[in-house]
Amino acid sequence: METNELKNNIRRLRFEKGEMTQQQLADIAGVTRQTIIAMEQGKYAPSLPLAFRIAKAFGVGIEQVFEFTEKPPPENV
Amino acid sequence: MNRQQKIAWFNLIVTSLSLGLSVIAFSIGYFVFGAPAHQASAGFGFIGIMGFSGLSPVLFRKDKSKVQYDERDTAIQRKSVIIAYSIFWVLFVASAMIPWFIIGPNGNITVNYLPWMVFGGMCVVMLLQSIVTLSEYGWRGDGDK
Repeated sequence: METNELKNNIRRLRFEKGEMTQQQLADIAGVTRQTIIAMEQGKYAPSLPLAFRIAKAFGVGIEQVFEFTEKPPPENV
Repeated sequence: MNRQQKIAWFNLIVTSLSLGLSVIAFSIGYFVFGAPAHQASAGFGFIGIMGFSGLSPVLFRKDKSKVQYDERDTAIQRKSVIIAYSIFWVLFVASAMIPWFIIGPNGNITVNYLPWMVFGGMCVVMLLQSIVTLSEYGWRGDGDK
């Protein structure tokens, strides 16, 4: 699935950022806490603007929050 | 569990209840009392219970949290509407075409068939929209951990 290709470090970054709660991050990013939970569990891939807002909340670059693992393209038969 | 999940659960229960009671009432009238089908179909009056689903926005007030609705909620709602109406359309077309194939172009059907297409469609949309919404959020409201 597409969402499995996008991993994130939100949980780790929250703890590195002084044990920031999911609710605090949700308020900063302008989403519900459920959405933060779904992202941490890898069940939801955020939109690009939300991804940038989350990175900004942590004060890091977007590539430090999200990692995209590209699947190899299917071989031509 | 957020507001959308509560509304979906409420609609699912109300729709299932109205459908279940209708089928039971029809079955009792038709099979137990031996009433003709057109009389026993009065049991489908229980479909009116579905009207209570209109109360859900009043019963489930908006959450007090800062953000009540975000892009994920929008995506889930869009997906549930698309799936529900796609399946409704397939069933609607089938309900219009199957009688034509069975009784032929010169056959006759009662006009009572038409409102049942509408009520049936409403049930299908309500049920599917609720089921898809709950399945997307997680049935137990896992997101609240």
